[in-house]
Amino acid sequence: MKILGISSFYHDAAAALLIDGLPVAAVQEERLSRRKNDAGFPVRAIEWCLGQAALEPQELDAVIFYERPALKFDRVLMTLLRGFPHSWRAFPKAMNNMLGEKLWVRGVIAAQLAVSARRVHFTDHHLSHAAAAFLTAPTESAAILTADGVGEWATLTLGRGRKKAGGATTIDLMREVRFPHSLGLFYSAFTAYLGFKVNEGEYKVMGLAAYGKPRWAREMRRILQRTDDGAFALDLAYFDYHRAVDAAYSKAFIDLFGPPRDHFEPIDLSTALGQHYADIAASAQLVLEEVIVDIATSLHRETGLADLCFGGGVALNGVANARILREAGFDRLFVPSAPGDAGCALGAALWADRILFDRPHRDCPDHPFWGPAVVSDDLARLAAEDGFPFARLSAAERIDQVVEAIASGEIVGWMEGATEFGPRALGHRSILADPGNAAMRAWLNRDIKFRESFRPFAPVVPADQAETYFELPPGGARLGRFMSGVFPVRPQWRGKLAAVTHVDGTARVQVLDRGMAPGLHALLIAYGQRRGMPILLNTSFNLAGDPIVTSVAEGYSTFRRAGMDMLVADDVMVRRQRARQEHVLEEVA
Amino acid sequence: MYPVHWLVWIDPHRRARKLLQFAEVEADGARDLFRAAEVVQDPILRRRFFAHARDEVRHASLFRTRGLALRRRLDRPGPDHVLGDGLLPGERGFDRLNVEAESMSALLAFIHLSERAASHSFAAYGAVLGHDPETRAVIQQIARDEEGHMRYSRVELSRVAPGQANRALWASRLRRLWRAYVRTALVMADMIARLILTLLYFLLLPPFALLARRAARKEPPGWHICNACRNDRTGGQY
Amino acid sequence: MIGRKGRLRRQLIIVGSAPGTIVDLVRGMWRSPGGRRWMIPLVIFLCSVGVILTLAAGVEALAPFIYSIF
Repeated sequence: MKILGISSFYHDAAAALLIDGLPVAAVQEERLSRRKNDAGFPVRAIEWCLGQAALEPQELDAVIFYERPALKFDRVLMTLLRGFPHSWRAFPKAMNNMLGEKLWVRGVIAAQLAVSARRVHFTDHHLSHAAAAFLTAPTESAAILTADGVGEWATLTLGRGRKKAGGATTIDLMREVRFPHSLGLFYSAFTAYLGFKVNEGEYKVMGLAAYGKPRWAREMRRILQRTDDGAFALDLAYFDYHRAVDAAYSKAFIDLFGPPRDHFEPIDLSTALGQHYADIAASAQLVLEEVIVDIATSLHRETGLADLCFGGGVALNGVANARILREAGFDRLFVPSAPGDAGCALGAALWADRILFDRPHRDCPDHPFWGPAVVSDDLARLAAEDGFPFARLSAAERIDQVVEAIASGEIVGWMEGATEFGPRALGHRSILADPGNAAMRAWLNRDIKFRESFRPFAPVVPADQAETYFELPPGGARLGRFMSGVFPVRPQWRGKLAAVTHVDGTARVQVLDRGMAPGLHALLIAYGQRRGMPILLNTSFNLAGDPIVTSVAEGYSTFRRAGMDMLVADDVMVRRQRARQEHVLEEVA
Repeated sequence: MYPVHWLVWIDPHRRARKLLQFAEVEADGARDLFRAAEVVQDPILRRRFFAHARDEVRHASLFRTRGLALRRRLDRPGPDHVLGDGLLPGERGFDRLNVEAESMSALLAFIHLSERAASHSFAAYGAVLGHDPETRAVIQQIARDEEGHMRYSRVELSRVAPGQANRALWASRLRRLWRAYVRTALVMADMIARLILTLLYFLLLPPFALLARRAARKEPPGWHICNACRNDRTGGQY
Repeated sequence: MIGRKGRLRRQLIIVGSAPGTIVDLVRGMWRSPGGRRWMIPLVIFLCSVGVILTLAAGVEALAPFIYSIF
């Protein structure tokens, strides 16, 4: 059976193709359109997925959309009605939006793919998140927690799932918290307040939080209250997202926390104002953690299960994830490589296969590499045409040269095999550098990635050596598989891992299993033999504002723009020759 | 247009806002050009686009630096965007250029005309900025670069489409005109739709709003039975 | 390979599927445990407006004139 899963229209559109119960391809639209967080209908992603299996759209048995548009319309309309008359500005925009396209998803899919509308199905947004988390995880029975901004009505769900290879699958979502009460929107309001883009800058809030003290925690608890039944509710007087189009927080919010950060001005942590914003970030982070850990703890008590599968945008918060693992009582915490809306394309397809069509479960390969592969010949051609020195290398030569380059302080673009599905670079589209050089972090932020100085970088370490360098709780290695947890760096190594140790002594470590990315694993081992620590700084291969690179041409372009020293795409390696390149650029400018 | 430009640029709020908007436009243009460099097969064009893109990055930085310097002098900087921003042709950069979908000659013709429009606009702005020599220096420097971009794109157009350059330019002019009309039509449609929907809001919604509020009172915050439990085996839209 | 259709043709297919969506929506509200039946007239009216909006999006050059239907 051939099932296409689609997520689109809000943020991070994606497509995923499932054949006979197993993923064949999955990719975010932004990786192909080159527009960050592209929310449009994912034509390119669908086309690429179908191309991987040499399928025409008409050969699909089913297309499944990751949420129910009519139920979403119900929520939007009901919210606008409840906000009357304050919602008068939001009403025309929301209706234009919903009625102009988003409500008619069945027709949009039928029109774009030329498939019968009868073959287009829908599932709940949070069920897609749950399926993406549970059906890809190597566990037979688990509690399920999903949390994000909002789906149709739900913003957070609790449930449990059971599956067995060759057998039936069940996912029972037991209860939910409904819009407008939302942990995701609570955090997004602070993202906006702190001058970052909503749905994009939440990482920055988490990074900034480490510089602050939770001085505002009491106020935060006042606006994010706990209900008697163990859920939570927002004091809506402090928020505006439920009645305005372009405002997340209200005047009362500003009265409480002070004026929002001017997004044109950088955060200067040496000033009182900069520290104030860091304190706000720390307080929001702390209170979010308290609530989510408490909910996860009660879910553990209720289900008695050892494993938790966590999906939705909130599951990208690695600090909260690590606390859940440490404190909620679960032995293992599974967060998929794409816990956000993009991952819902895969989740919806898996849900349709296992539950809508009642087909037996098949274990999914436990890796994130479902996107387009590297074509190294393209790099050789580009380098030859532009007069850059390049070489075709054996695996051993490649590792030797990359190790040598990184050990001597160079920055390497590393492209290997298929792209990752999800927001993290997990070793196939990465920028690699020396983790021990403290100046490297500032340099990478300022000159290579062009991003804020306070943002941390992540390390990657082989799984069997992770505990030597990082304080991993039981189950920590699993959470670190897709870089989903933030853990303390052991104090004795912090000085030697200065470029990847955040200001609070932690790191969002990727714990690399050899089977997942053998090339990068071999590189880590070789680097360990050369420098004593098998750890590299691993950051996504992109510049600020761009999606992670997909093709070699994009990697090559980014390599040149960012002033990196070396680019490796499978077996082809290109080096920078500064003098020559500057000459070439002057020639044509 | 001189009095209009003078009026626009004499206001320090608008001046700062415009420079920061130009920075965004130039940064977007740089992205489009880097993308063009990534997809083009011709190595000479690739280098040209790459060099051009780097110029746009530099322009974005110049505009931003100057815009921020002006903005910091203001007590209340005001909103980032207001109605009517970006309506002049030279202020829209490459205007949602879909690089992959264009032929090389169409792309070059489009770049040439966009750069020409920008160059003319910047020259006109420079002429009314006598009261702000620093901003004028930035704008004039960028206007000179735009002239260079105009020239290279015209030369390359003649190279990649010999004998068809004029046709490509006319086709591109017509497309720009068509786009300008469509943009105006969409702005008008959007305004009409908003007006109609706002009228509906106030005429039609009040009784429903009362019922919705009453329904809301019956839904206390906290846990609810999952929507997904109701009909998760139907694959329906609600 | 996905066959490319004209914008108007795509929008007409979408409009053609709209009645099914409206039926789904109305049926869902009718059966909703949250008591949504009172919203049905409003929803039907708004969806009809939506069909016109969709048509207008299909012929963007004529979009302002489409609204003369009102």
